[in-house]
Amino acid sequence: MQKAIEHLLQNPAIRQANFAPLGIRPGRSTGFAALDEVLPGAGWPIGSLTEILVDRQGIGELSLLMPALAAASEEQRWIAWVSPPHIPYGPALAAKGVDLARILLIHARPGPDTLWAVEQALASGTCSSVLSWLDDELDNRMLRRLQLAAESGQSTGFLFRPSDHVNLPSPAALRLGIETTSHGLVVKVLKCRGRSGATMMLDVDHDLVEPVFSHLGAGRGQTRQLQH
Amino acid sequence: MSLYFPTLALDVVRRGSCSTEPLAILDNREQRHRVLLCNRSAEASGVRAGMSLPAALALEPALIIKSRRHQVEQTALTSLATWAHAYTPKLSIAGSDELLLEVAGSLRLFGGLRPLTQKIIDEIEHMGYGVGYAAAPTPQAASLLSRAPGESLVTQRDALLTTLSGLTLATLELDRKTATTLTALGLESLGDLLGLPRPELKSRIAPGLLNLLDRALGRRPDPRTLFKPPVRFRACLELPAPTANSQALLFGAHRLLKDMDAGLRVRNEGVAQLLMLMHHPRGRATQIRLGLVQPSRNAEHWQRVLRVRLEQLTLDQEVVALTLRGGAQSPLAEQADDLFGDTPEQLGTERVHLLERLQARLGDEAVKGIALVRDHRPERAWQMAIPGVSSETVSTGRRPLWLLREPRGLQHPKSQWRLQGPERIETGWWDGVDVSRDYFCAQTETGERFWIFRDRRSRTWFLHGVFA
Repeated sequence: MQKAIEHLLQNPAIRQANFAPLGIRPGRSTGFAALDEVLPGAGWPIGSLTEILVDRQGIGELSLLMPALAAASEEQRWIAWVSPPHIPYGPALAAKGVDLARILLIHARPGPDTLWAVEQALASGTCSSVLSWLDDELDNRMLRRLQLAAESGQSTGFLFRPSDHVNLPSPAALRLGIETTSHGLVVKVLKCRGRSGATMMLDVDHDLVEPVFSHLGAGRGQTRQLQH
Repeated sequence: MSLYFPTLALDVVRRGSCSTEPLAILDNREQRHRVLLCNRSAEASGVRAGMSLPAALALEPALIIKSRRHQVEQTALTSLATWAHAYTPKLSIAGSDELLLEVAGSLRLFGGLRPLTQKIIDEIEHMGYGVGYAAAPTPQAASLLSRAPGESLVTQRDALLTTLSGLTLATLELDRKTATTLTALGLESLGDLLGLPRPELKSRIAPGLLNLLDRALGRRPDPRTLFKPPVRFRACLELPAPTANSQALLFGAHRLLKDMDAGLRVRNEGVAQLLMLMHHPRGRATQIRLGLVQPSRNAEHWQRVLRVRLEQLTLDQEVVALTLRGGAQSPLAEQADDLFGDTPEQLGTERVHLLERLQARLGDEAVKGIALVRDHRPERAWQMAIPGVSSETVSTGRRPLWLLREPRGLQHPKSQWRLQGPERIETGWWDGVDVSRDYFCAQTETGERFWIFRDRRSRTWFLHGVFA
C-alpha cells in the first residue's frame, strides 16, 4: 500500500501540498529573530488570523509588521489595508522596503461592509496579508468566519484590537499583546499553538533585538514554555 | 448541418430555473388554449401536448402555465447562432427554430464530423436546449433529417437519395390538406413521393414540394442568408415562476452570462459593462449596472460581481423575466482558459477580480493604491492611485507610518516630551499652497512617538503623523 502511494506520488501530475512536520506550517518571518524563535512556524502564521491587542498609537505597532510586509512584497499578491484609522504613509512604507504597487487601500463603512471587505480580501487568495482595525463588530462567530477565510485564501490576517478583548476567546492562531516602555516595544505572546507566554522587548525601529526580559511579568509564561 | 430546436418554446422558460415543477407552454395562436409543450414532470402527471388547458389542469393542479413568447424564442435563437459562430462563419437561421451550419470548412479543425457534432450537441444540451440534428451535403436534406428520429450524418451525395427515401411524410411538416391528399394516394414515405412522375407532383399535388425535394437532393441551388452576429450582446430569459429570491435570480442570470460567454468567445472579445434588467409584473424593470476594471467575458467572474450586487438589493416586487445587455465589446488579451493555472498572469486576473468585487459593493473610490509624488510637502508627497502602479523611490527624512488626514492643532509640546529635529520644510510658493514648517519627532513621557510641526508663520503647533 505504502509503495503504491509512493508510486502514485511520483506522478508529476499530482501535486503535493507541503505539510510541515507536526502539522505546523512555516510562517512568514517577522524579521525579529527573538520573536520568530517563539512562534510555532517561526513567523507570522500563514492562512490564519493574528490578533494584535494594543491600546495606544505611536508605539511601533505597525513597525512590528514592516519586515514581514517588505518580504511579502516579493509575492505577486496584494497587501490589503481595510479601513485604516489614518493614512498609511507611502514615503514611510517605501523606506521600510514595502513595495507600494502591492498596497491595496480599502475604505468601507464601519460595520457589515468592513467585515465583508476583510473576509473577501482574506478569502480571495490574492492577498498575502490583510490588515484591519475591527473592533466591536467582531464577535466570535465572525472571527471564525475570518479565520476560515484566511485559511482558504492562504493569507496572513492581522487584526488590531483593543486589549480589553484579551479575556474573550478567539479562534486566531496567534494573539500578541503589545505595550511600550521607555526602553522599546514589549511584545507578549498571549496565545499561539504549542506554547505561549513568552515576553520580549523589541526595538522595532532599528531592527535591533534584545533578549527575552524575564522580569516583565513573564514568570508564569516562562515556566509554561519550559514544560513544553 | 442542421440544428433543430423542437422544444425551444419550452426550453427558453425551463432553462431559467433549476426547479422541476410541472410546466406547460400554451399555444396562443388558436382561440382555445392548448398545451403546446410540457416538461417531464408535467408528463408524469399525464399532461400531453395538444391537450386543452382545463384538461391539463385537471390532471395536474400545480401546473405552471406560460404563454408562448415568440420574441423570447427569437432572441434565444439569435444567441444560439452567435454561439455557433465559434464553429463556422457560414451559418443561417432557418424558420423560427432551426440553425443551418456549413461545417465542411471546420471539419479538419475539429477532427472530423463526428467529434465536431458531439462537441456541438454537448454544448447545446449543457445550455439547456433540446436539439435534433443531422448532417448532409445539402442544407435542405440536413433540415429534413434533423426532424427524423435517429442520427443521420450523411457525407456522400450519392447516399442522399436512399437516406431521404426512408423518411416519413411527417418530416415534411406539410399543411393538413396536402398531407391528407398524399395519404389518400397511399403515399407514406419520401421515397414514395420521389417515385411519382415529376409533372404529376408539380401540377397536381403540391407545387412547392417538388422545389423542396430538388433542393434537398442538390438538383437546385439553395442560397441562404448568412447570419451576422449582433454587435452587442442582448438576451432575455423568462423565469418559470416569479421570484424575488436572489439564488433563483442568480441561476437564471448565470444562464444568460453563459450565453454571453459563448457568444463572445468566438471573437475573443469581452465587455466591461453589463446592464441587467429585472422585469416585474408591472411597473418599471429594476436595473443593475455592472462594471469591471478590465473587459471580460468570463461568466463565472461576472456572476461573482452580480452576486455581490444582488445580495445588497432588496426587491419589493417579484421578478418574472431577466434581460442582459452587454456594453461595447473589446478584444481580450490572449490568455489561456486554464482555471487552475497559477501563472503570474492568471493570478493577475484574479487580483483584478478582487478589486472588481470590492468596487461593486463599496464603490469605485473605496478601493485605491498608493503612489509617491515628488513634492516636499508631506501631505503632497503621496497620492491615491490605481492599485498596482509602481512609484519611483523618493528619499526623505524620517517619516511616520501614519499620516493624519489633516494636521491637528496642538498645545505647545509638554516639557517632558523628547523632541528630535527640526527638519525644515519650506516650499510650495509656486502653486499657492506654500508651507513653512519645522518638523519634530516627539516622544511622549509614556513612550508614544508623534510627528509634529510648528508653523513658522502662525507659530502654532500641529500633530501630523504617528510613528506607529
